[in-house]
Amino acid sequence: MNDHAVKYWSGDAAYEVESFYRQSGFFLVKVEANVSNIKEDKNSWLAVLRVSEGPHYRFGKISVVIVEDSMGAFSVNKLKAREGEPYVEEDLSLDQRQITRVLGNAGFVRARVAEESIQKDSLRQWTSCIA
Amino acid sequence: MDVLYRVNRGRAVVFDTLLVKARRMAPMDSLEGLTRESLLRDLIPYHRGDTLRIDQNDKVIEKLQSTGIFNSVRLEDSTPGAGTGSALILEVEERCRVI
Repeated sequence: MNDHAVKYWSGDAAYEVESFYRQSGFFLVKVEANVSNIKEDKNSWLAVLRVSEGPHYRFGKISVVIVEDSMGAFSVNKLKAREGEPYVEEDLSLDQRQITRVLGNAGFVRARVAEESIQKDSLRQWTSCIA
Repeated sequence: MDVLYRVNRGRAVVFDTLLVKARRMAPMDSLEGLTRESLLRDLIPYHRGDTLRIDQNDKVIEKLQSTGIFNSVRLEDSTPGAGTGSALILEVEERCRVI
């Protein structure tokens, strides 16, 4: 291990921590890594990760639109993401799977579900799709 | 954070026929499988006109995989044309058995 490698690994750790926070709804998180040598021992380093969480986002309106069927309805009560609850990225993929499964058990085995998330304060938008 | 799930539902798929493809693993994959086709057919819970269901399909796959004699099990539907029923294709690859 040398200074260069320690800086690399601590930067990597900062990135992982940031990803973890983002997946939990802290979209504006910033993580800084600072590395310093411990004076008595040149083979030891002190890595400090400073986390600025920022606001914790929550789910807003959750809706399901069945594209080619104006009469089609899907109860959002069956979904994991709920209005007012803290944002968890994993809930979105679980919901996509749940919708696909419910429709698949009604014969629509080729149903495709795309998810669009809109961050209201910045109008930033994410889209994902599962087949 | 508002979330919109946009669903492209497609048509409900209705079972029409079953195609079974059983083969052995490489290097003998050009040979037909040893598993009796009727045995595989009996596992399929559909009759002509039944609506396909994901859970039922998954159960068939799980049953076959749990026997431990197949490397891979696939169950897929294919609709030859609009308005027609589905051809369900069951494809299995048998594991080599050393006797």
